[in-house]
Amino acid sequence: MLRKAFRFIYLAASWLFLVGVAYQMYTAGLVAVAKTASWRQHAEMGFVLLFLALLQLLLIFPARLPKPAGWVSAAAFVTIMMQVLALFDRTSALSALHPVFGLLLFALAWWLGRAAYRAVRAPREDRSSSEAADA
Amino acid sequence: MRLRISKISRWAYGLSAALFLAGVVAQVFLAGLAVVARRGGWSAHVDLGHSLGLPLILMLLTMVPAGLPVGARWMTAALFVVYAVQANALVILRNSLPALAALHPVLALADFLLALKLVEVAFRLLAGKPVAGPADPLRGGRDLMQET
Repeated sequence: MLRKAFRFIYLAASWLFLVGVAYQMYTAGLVAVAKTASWRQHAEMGFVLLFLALLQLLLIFPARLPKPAGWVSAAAFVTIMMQVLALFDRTSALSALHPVFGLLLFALAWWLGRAAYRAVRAPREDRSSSEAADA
Repeated sequence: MRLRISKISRWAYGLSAALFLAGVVAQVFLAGLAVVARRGGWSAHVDLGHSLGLPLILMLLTMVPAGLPVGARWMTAALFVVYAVQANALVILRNSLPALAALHPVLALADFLLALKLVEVAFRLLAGKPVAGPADPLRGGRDLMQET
C-alpha cells in the first residue's frame, strides 16, 4: 500500500519534471526568441527542476521501480548538475552545452515518466511477483 | 530487386534520421553558443536549421519503400510538421506573437524525441529486430509498429 503511494508520488514528480523541462525551454524562448522576459524566471525554474530530480532519486527506493529507473534518475540528476556547471565559465564554448543537456534531460524525463506510468498501471499479480523477486 | 530497394531505402532512412538527430543537437549547441557563450551570431543556426529540411524530406520519401511500420510513418510526418512550424511559422511570428514564438526551442524537444525514436526504429529494422511502439492513431488502439 505504501509502495503504491510512493509510486503515485513518483509518477506525479516525474510528469511534473517533464513538463518543467519543457517549460524551462519555453522561458528560454521568451528571453532568446521573443525577447519579452529576463533570465530570472528560467533560473528559478532551474532550482525547481533540481529539487524534482532529487525527489525522484530519493523516491526510487521506497517506490521500488524497475532497476534501470534508478540509473536513469541518477543520470537526470547528474545532467542537471552538468547544466549548472556549464554555466560557471561563460567565456568557454563548453557553456553552449547548457541547452544541449536540456535535450538529454527531456529524453531522460520522458523515459522516467513512462516507466513510472507503467509501474503504477502494472497489474497486481505482476507487482506481487516483482515483490517476490525483490525479496 | 524489391528487397534490394527496401534495404537501400532502410539505410537511406536510417542515415537521414541519424543525420537529422545529430543536426538537432548541433542546432541547440549553436543556439547555446549565441545565447549562453555569446560567441558569434545566429547565422550558423539559421543556415543549419534550413538545411535540416533535406534529411527530413529524404525520410519522407524513403519511409514507404523502406517498409517502415505505419506508426513510424505517422511519426515521420509529425516530425516534418513540427519542423516546418518551428523553422518557419514560429520565427516569423516573433514580433507579432512573441509568446507563441517562444515555443521555438520547446519544439526542439519534440524534434529530438521523435528523431531519437525514429533512429531507434530504423536501426532495429536494419538489424532485423522486432519493433514495438505507438499505435496508428487512425486505426484505434492496435499496435501497428510492425512491418506492413
